[in-house]
Amino acid sequence: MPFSRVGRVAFAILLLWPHAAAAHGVARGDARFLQSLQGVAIGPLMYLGAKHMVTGYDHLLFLVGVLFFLYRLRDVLLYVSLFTIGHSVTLLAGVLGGFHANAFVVDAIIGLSVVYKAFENMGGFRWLLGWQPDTRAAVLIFGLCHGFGLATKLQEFTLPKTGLVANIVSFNVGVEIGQLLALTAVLIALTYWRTRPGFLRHAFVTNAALMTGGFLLVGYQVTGYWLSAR
Amino acid sequence: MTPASPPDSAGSGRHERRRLAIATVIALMVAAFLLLAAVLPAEYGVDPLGTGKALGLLDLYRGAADPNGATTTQAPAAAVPPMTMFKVDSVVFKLRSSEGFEYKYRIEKGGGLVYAWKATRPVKYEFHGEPDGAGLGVAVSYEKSEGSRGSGSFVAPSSGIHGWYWENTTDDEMTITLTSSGFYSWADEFRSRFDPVKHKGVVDRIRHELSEPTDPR
Repeated sequence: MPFSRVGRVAFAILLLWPHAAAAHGVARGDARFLQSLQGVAIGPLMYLGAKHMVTGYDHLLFLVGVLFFLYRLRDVLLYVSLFTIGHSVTLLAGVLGGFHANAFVVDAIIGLSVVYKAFENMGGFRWLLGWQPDTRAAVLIFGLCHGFGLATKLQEFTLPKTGLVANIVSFNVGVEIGQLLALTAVLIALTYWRTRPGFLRHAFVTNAALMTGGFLLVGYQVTGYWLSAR
Repeated sequence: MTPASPPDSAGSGRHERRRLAIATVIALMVAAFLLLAAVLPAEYGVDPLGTGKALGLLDLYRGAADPNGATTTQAPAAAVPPMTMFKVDSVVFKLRSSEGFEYKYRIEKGGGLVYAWKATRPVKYEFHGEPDGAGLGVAVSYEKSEGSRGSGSFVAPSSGIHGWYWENTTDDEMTITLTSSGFYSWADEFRSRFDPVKHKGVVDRIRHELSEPTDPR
């Protein structure tokens, strides 16, 4: 019976969700580790990067939006590469070059990227503007924003100058590993869902829900910015 | 069609546009409601609709200021207390069977405390704080456990009274020795006893003398 299978998938997602939603930023114990860090620590930073990606609901929501209508593996690889290039550039440039962006502002923009992608999936831009802005460019540009978000998380800590490059690169590699894991899970769920008759019927509503999540992230960060500025 | 664009729907343009507008407005409204009702109370302790209090979400916000967080949260530079507030304290208490008592310090937000205590027997304890303005009897628990020793460093997440409650659940008298240093302005001992005259339980509050750290030279 299709319903029970959908139910089981939904149940599995519900089980996993609290993990994803548990914490953003860098968890406390990890924060203490980063603070006391001296020299190169490739393993731990890779782990932290992967963990940040797998448990970071904003990145995950965006990836769900990006993958939603990507059926071919070639397209998946193309879009994911664009996103990866985008966030790697700003993560490395942000931490190494010392660019300092406000974490709330960056996270609000990341929330907006989720709204944008969901709206695009709903066919919103073709109705609003009469044409479709380049989806590849959008993923690349928002990739740059997500990278700034990753950078601000690391910049909250004074990382030691020794081995900084190796540490940041390790973190970045970890981010990619985490992204790969998250992508695999998202793709499996989406691929399975697409075989169900309800996929296209529910696609619109699902993207509306995705957009809600994006709006919520924006509101969360904007209020945070406003409260911290007072 | 670009690879990422959705398949074209068969519906009429006007209908699609309407559906899209409605969905966007609903998404905005649901997000705004969730933000005001749940996220703001739980994340920032801001409660515009009163739902945070009703659903207990405000506790989540207060709970986030636990000691592990406190030790890693850098206190803003302005909140670091002056050098003159740096104190050392070493006290010894006797705790009779089934007696419980508290020893608490007045610490301003961002003020640090380094401590170690040991008891001659396993004892129930709770390290907790009572933030200013949180209301009488409102405590934030930092650590609740049972054991015969405890130690660590702590940065006060809020201005208020921070300290321990110990309860002797054994049948014998025990001794607790506590040593600490940090930025606190006073230390009080709270001992509850039964007052035979008033015929009810009262709490005796005893102020302890604190000493300044001695000059190592």
